[in-house]
This record gives sequence, structure tokens and C-alpha cells, in this order.
Amino acid sequence: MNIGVRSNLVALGCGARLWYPVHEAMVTLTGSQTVRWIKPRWVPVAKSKMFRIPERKPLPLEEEVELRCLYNNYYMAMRAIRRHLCEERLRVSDTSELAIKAEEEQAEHDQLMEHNSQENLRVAALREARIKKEFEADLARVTASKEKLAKDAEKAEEEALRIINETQEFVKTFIKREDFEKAIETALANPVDYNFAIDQQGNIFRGRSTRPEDVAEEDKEKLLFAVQS
Amino acid sequence: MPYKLVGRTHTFYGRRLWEIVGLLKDFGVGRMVVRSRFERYPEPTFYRIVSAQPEMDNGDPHKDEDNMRGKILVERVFRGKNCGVANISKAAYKTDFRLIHKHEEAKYLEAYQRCVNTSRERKIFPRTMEMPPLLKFVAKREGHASDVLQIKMANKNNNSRVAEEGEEPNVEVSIGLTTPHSPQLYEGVF
Repeated sequence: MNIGVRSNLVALGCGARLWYPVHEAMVTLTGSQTVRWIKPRWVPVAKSKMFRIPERKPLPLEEEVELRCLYNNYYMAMRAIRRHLCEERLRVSDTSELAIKAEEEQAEHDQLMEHNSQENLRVAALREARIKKEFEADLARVTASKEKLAKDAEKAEEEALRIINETQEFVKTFIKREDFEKAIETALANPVDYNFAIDQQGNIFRGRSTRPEDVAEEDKEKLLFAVQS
Repeated sequence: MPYKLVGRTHTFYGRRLWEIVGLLKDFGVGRMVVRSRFERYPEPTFYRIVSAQPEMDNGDPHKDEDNMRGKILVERVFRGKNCGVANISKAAYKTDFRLIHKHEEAKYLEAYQRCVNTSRERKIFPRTMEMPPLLKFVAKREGHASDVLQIKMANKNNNSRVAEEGEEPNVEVSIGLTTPHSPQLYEGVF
């Protein structure tokens, strides 16, 4: 509960709407609540205060002079104190325990730096050897790769030649233009019948009009799997 | 023209320097402007524009967005002392500037000449000052290098300096209250 100079305690009324500026959270268990008799934040400026211009009171000259002098003295003294303490710290730190410790640290640092440079040299030698080895391995790999490529090219050339030869052989079987009529006549004179039938014993009967009884028993052609079985 | 000011009082009175400069030929190079903030001093304070480069055509007008930026160099006379050429670009946006008419410039120049001829007495501060009591005690106990504080001046341009070796200071300095400038304020206190 907020009790201020400008707060009043009023009894909790049972009216529907409160006319005074109070919040639910401010209602206490005793049934009393605090009312702050000042303007809430969301209420606009009062009409009576809307055009009020607050007076800006000038500081008397003697006070201004005095205050400025006091401030100047204060800041000057503070600056001097700060500088004094800073210089003192610098002076003391040259011969203090910290400084001695710093020397030890410097010696250790030098030693570590020396060790570091030695280690760097050792690692550099190892690295050079490794790089040389890798370079040689690379060379070997490239040579092998070149050889393989040459071999592959040779093989491809042979294959190409073979295909050309085969094609040339095949071309010889083409029907020439002048033999075209003759070839047609030959084809018409010798019709090929691709039809065939198969019986349950696996015999093949070539031709569309071939009848099983017309074929001799020894001339019957057998299916491949039927022959095997 | 006499002014009748209405409403709240300001710290600044005048226009932005860029507004003034934008209306003048050659961006007002060679013209004299003053800041109202520095008119409280009895000695004259004014600027003479050396070069001006306003950033124009940017920002919305009437929203404090235009006339805000640029580069401007001025020859500054502060409290009757010529401080040389200064860059006041960072202060030029303040609505505190006033253009001096050419026929009024002579008045400022005369006042400046008077100040040059009769320069103000310069404050000479002592080289050292006393320590505060507790710091003095600590310094003695811990063996500090000195038991007085060295005074150094931060600003070299103002009217005060630290005394040379063997020079007599004319300002009294001590921790605590010195001779007050306005003794009437302390009447009945001590």
C-alpha cells in the first residue's frame, strides 16, 4: 500500500464505477484503499495549466561566480590527485615485487621463445623432407597416369580400327542401286515364312501351312530346352 | 528592430549557421557572425567565416533535417582573443547564430582592438597545492615521492596558466574553501 503525503484512505465503496483514481491492486485486505490525488500519466495536461509558462529563474551573479569558482577548484584538485596517484603507481611499480616478477617472467619468456625457435627449426626440417617425398610421389603418380592414358588411347584406336573394318565388311553386303530391281525380284520370288508352331513335345513346325504329319520324325526340329532335357 | 519575446525562454537565440550561410553570396565567406550564447561576456566574441561547404538538398525541411550538416571554417575571436582558424562544423547546426551587418562590424572590431590593447590580467596558478589531509597521511606512511600535488592546466587557450619556476602566482589555491568571490553568501555561516 502506497501511503504518501498526498494520499488519502477511503472506505471501499460498493458503487459500480469509481470516480477517483484508484487501481484494483491497491485495494488491501482490510477493505481500505489508497487514492493518489495526482494526475495519472495518461491524462492530458489540465486545461487550466495548458498555457502556463513556467518561470525560468536566473541564478544571481554572485552565486554563479562563487559556484563556478568552487567547481573549478574541485576539478583542478581532483585532476592533481589523480595525476599524483598515477605517477606514484608508475614509480612504485618499477621496483615492486611485481616488477621483479616481471623480470622472471621475461627470462622464462625468452627461454620459451628460444625453445620455440628450436622447435620451429626441427619441424621445418621434417616438413621439408615430407614435402620432398610428396613431390616425388606426385611425379611417380603423374608418370603412371601418363602411361595409362597412352595405353588407353592405343586401345581406343585399335577398337576404332576394328569397328571401321567390321563396318567396311558389312557395307559390302549392302544392295547396290543397280542391283536394286534384281534384289526385289529375288525377294518376291523367294518369300520367307517366319511363322511356326510348337507342339507339347517341343517340336517346332516352320511355316504357316506346314502340317505335323507332313514332317518326318527324324526331320523334326526340337526346342533348345526340350533338346537339353 | 525591438523584439518582444513570447513563451518559454531559450538557451539559444538565433538561427542555424547553415540557414544564414545559405542566404549569402559565396556562402558568406568574409562575413561576421556571433553566437548569442557568448554575448554574456563583456569582451567581444565573434566569428569571421573563412570557408563554408553546406550539405544541401538533403533532409526534409521543417523537420529539423535540413541545414544540419556541412564543413565550415571560421576565424574565431573569443572574449577578445583571436584563437585563429577553427572548425565549428559540429556547432553550426545550433540555432544560436546571428549575422552582423557590414555597417555594424566596425563596432565589434573596435571592441576587439580595445581588448587587445588592454588585455585582461592573466590568472597565474601556483605550481603545487596542498594535499587533502587523508591523502597526506597515506603519502607519508607509504613514502610517496612528494607530499604536495602538482597543478597542471588542461586547457591552454583560456586565461589562466601555471606559474613558471620562481614566478609569483596571483591566485590562491588550497583544499577547502579559499577566499570567497562572493563573501556575502557566507555571512552568518562562519
